Amino acid sequence: MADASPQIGWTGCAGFAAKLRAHNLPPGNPQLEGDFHQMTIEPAKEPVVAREEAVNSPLPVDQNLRAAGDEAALVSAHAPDRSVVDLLLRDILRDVLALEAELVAEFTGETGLFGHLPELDSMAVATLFTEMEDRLEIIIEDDDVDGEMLETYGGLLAFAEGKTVIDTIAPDSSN
Amino acid sequence: MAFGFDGGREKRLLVLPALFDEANKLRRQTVEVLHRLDLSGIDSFMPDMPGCNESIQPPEQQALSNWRDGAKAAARHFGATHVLAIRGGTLLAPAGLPGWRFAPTTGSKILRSLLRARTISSRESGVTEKIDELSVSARQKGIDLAGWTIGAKMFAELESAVANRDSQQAVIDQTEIGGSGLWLRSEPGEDPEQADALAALVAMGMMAA
Repeated sequence: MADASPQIGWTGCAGFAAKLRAHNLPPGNPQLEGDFHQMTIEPAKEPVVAREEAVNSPLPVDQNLRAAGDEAALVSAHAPDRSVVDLLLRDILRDVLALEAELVAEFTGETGLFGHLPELDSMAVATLFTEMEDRLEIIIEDDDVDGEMLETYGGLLAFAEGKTVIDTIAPDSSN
Repeated sequence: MAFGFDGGREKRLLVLPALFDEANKLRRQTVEVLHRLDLSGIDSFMPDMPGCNESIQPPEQQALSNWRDGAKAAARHFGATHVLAIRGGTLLAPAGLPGWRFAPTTGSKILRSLLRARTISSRESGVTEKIDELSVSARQKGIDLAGWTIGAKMFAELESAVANRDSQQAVIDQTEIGGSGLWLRSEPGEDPEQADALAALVAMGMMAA
């Protein structure tokens, strides 16, 4: 994909997501590259879901992939760019935890959440999930919630990325 | 009982605050907005809904429909010319009153957050509860959520509650006043810039009317 960022990594500026929404620009837009710093996550530590670069596939591509039985490619085609989910999730955490954007931008996969941040009590976790459902357009079920997904930022991001893939494909999965 | 600023002025605003847990988080900020409107020459009234704050009515016997009636009665009592409804308060706004709905939400979203907080809290104490099962029981017997007693009728009405489609109120989204929604925070807070922005939008609208 020509216009995607060539490196595996994520962009560490929460304000970028707002720009993204405001301008409806795809990630990796060269005009915005100078506005935020890029950080690279070590692959070993990085949540693996949806690492492939996103392609906003039109429907015919879906059908071709489905016809070919290529589920992996289908997932890849539907996975939102990982940096988009990452940035939206950081925005949500910034809002719910009332933290500075700069601080949230420094979260790594190992940054502790539930049990580490005093702000994250049960009501705050509930608010966090409700916002994730709204902004990431996913549904979080009772059974999805476990200690692991809330333990670290990496765990929560992996969960969110997994959900965005599943919930995007789900409507057609019976075909 | 109602909180407000009554200078017997011409422009009179009925304020319907956020509901339940969000009511606690937004009350200070809402009062900040009303202070600013007072300085702009606007009277405002924020009534306690039956079963809330200073009201001595039993909370478990409340329903959304009688809160809606309460909002209408308050509008008449105070001679409101406009309404500002906030978050869940938008579910109560009398349709015929012009004004604004700030960051509107739906009854089902309010309940989902509250139910989820309860299941998470229960899990921490080693009890497994499911949102679906709690909902079934709440429709029959009511439920306590985040310290709020919600009766069966209130619960059932909230599940399908949305703002009146025929209302004359314009929507103000959080993005229009900047920053992030204070109802998202774990503690009540206030934000002077957001209060300025929201008060300015309302004051300009009311003064132009």
